[in-house]
Amino acid sequence: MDKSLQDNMPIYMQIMDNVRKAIASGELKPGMRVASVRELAGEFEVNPNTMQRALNELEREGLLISERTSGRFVTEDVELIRELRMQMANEAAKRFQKEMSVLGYSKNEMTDFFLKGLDDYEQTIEAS
Amino acid sequence: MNRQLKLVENNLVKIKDLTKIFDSVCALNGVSLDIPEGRIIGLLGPNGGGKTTLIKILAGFYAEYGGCVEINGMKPGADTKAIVAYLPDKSGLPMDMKIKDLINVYKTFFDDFDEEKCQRLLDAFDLQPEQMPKEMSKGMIDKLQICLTMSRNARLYLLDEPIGGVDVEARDHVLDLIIENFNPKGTMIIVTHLVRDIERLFDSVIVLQKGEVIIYEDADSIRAEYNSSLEDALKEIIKDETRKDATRNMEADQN
Repeated sequence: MDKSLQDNMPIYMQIMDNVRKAIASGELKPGMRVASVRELAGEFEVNPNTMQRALNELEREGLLISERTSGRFVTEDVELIRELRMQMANEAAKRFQKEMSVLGYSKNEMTDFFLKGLDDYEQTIEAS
Repeated sequence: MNRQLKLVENNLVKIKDLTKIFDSVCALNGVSLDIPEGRIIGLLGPNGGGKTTLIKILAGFYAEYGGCVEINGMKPGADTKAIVAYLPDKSGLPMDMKIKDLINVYKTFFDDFDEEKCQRLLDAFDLQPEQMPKEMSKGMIDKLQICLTMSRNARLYLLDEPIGGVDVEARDHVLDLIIENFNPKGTMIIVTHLVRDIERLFDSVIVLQKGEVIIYEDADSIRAEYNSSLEDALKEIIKDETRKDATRNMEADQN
């Protein structure tokens, strides 16, 4: 999971975002147990209250489920995770489109850039 | 799903109308603060703002002040020593005592002292039981003081510049220690001018300027409001306050 944080945005929101990404990507699998607040606070080097807040909010979104005695788990609702992943992908695509149109690229050029970027990416993967 | 339990917060520290005057200088001017348990609070602000004075009053060093101060219902002093762990900005450790003897002193004085933990911390900082402060550098003495203070399981930790004197590598150790020592029944008040290095640990911050509280707020709310890090937001806040102050003085002069 990405543990890097910026100081210029609310910390709990950034943690939520990193956990969402880990769930969407499957790094945190459905039904997987998540570490304790204290452990996570140590890993992210943040205040345990801030971590608690982030996890509480994720519970409210239904992405994490708290079991009274056994701890906190990733939801087993795969449909919810699928929706989350789509939503995050949509946002990423929008960011790309927005940046490219600011630079004055047409729809076709954007597609070319995107595909070329994809090819380069695959080549670096193969090379490594 | 919507089972949100709003717990009533217990205030570990209650301060009302606290005023402290040294000779003719007013170090604290009508400070009122309620500080709940289970918090890590940054006590920040420009030099001479009153931070260290406030910490020292909480640590029980000054008995004379105006207003009311309570820690867990007790006036700071002999009664509160057992639950308050104080890390001074300048170490007052005896210079010619071996570390192992200092540990024994702490053990005798403080029931909440965890010797095993202290040993672990000394190892982490590469300090030897046979060493004496007089043979150590200033940075090493600071580390020793941190080990001793943080080895207590206190309710209130008062840390005056905990990372100011130690090298960058040791800073991470100290930050980890602060997280490790966090407990829902305790509270830490941390004075620092190295806001950037430590700001992620604060859940709220108090800013003192000219002996008055100019802000006491949740750290993430400040980040959201100013769209910036705590450090940058504080610069703005202090600048604004100084400007307001100047305007007030000008108006007063004109009248």
